[in-house]
Amino acid sequence: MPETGTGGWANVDSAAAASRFDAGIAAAGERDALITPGARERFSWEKLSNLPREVTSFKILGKSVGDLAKEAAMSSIAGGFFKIGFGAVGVGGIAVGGVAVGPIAVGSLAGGGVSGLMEIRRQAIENQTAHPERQRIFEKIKSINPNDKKKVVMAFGRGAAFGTVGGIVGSEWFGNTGAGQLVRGGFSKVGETVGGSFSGLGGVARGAADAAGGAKDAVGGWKDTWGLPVPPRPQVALPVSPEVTLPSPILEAPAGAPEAVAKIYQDPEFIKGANEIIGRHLNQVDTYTDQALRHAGVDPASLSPEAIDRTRQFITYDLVNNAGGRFENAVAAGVEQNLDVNQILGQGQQRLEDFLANDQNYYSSHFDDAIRNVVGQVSEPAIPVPELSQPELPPQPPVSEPAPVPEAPAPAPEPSPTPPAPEPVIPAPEPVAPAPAPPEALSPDMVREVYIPKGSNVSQLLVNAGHSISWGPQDAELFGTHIEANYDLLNNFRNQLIENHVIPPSELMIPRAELSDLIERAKEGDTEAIGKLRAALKWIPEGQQFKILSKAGISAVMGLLK
Amino acid sequence: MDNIFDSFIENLVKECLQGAKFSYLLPREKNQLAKKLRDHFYDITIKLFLDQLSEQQFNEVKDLDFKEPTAQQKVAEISASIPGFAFVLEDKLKQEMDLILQTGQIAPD
Repeated sequence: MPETGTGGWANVDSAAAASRFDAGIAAAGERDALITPGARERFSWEKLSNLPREVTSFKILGKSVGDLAKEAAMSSIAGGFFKIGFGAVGVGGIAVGGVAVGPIAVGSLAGGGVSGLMEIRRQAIENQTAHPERQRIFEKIKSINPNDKKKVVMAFGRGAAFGTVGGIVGSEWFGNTGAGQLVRGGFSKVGETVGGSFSGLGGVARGAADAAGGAKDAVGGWKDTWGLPVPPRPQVALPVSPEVTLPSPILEAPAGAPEAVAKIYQDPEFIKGANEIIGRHLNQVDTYTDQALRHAGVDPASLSPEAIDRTRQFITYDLVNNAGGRFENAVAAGVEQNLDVNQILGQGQQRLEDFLANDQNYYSSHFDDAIRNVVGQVSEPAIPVPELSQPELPPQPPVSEPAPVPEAPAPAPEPSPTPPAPEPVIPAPEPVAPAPAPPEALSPDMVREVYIPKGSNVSQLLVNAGHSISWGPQDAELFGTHIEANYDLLNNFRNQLIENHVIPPSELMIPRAELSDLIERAKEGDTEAIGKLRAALKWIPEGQQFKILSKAGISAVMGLLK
Repeated sequence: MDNIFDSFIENLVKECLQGAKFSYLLPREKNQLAKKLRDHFYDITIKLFLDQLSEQQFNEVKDLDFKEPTAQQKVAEISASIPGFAFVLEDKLKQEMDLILQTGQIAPD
């Protein structure tokens, strides 16, 4: 036990006490010892020396909020008019994993795994948290009891994964979710509930009839947000999806549930009953999909089968998840009231049907936005950057032009009277090896160009073109050859991003000369190589043409690379 | 889904606890710290969510009673409407974990 209250660092078991102090669990005496003047100075100095630069610059040197806002604005040039991505950026926002992000008011920067953007975003975010009203709500949520707080946080996580359907790369926990598995093509858990046809464990009914014959059994009570009954809508017979199997049980006991609750979830009668109840609604997934698309202003007939499938998956996932929430509440209440399994099932069914009948739950602008995201029809970001100017990048040069190499950092515009923060010195990108392979020489059946729409990403373009993606070694040639075929486009755009401080110089394009070796290593399962190939496809410019190779084209480019 | 996100946060907590800065702690102290870390990651999630909201979305959530399941459903729905939120959230949480591992400190809210 350290000595305490002596006012001297030497008298404290410094390392252990510092750990406890840092962690906020130091004993009162230890705290006293550590924060006395002599000790405090040394303690602070040690801590300062450990802090990364951005932390010292923000938290220790005490930059003003205005400075940070300005830095964020200056750095958020991407908010001007690019589209980035594994996808792209829109006005006032950046695409993450292919989906445009809007509402970060100051910096508008966000990026899945884009380390160089993190600080900018953090600054923007920290500016926003300074907003007193948001801070008040933050405190409000913080102060609710721990169980409810956890439920709220889990709701954020749950929703986040929905919102990311359509995005692909980078997210570890999202990738492990049902939605993530769907996107990645490795179906598991809820992800197995693809489409309108379900072969049931636990008596889950089939929905193929709905899919083939048009949806006809809409759940009563689904109404438009203004409260009027939904008029009959022309139904589209959605294409039938391959038959898949639901997991059993569909529902899982919540993490950390009391034993009595967990026991209900393990009861075969409960599993069977819940599966049947939820299955009846899953049976209607084509109806819901059709209605949800129409409410979002999307004509199902205009969509590709893949887009319809994605929407089905989204709706299915959402239904299962919502059902889980309703049953969770029913089980908790049932256990408290000592109800038997059948009564709990009845309550769960009632809660689920009440939920589905509530027009606010599905027919809302949020849900519409989510649906549009799923089908790739992302609307403009909701919030333009207020007050701060939106510096624009020079227009993207044509693909055939050589990559611009910045000679000096781009001049920073002056968005506010606040003096500008020091700009990092950006070294000029290293020269990139000349192109060895001319994809232009490929025959038309080997390569075609597709327009890069707003909010799209490479994976979408590839999948839309008929390629399948597994995100593993099998993709090495697919990714590598598409990098080669689109090298100038990718390289030019990346250089522009670096030049304009959107991404750090460390994110230079992989040299062309290394591509062949990377592909070979990736094929052998080298995760670093796979990661590099994926990363090379991360940023694509909106509105330009992306070359898509056929299988023959991939073979041809592989031949050129060898 | 909840379980997966919960597990993700638990893994972050576990990784933090295994960091060199906290190796001096006794098991009981580690338990105390785990609670603080968990709560901290929850706070980060809440804060990030609020920061990502548009004014309109913020107006929709600000008066919710967050203890109510309907409110929780509402925030899930809004969270779903923030494209790419999973990535932003995961990055932020991992970044926070890195910072904790690096500095041995949990930043104040």
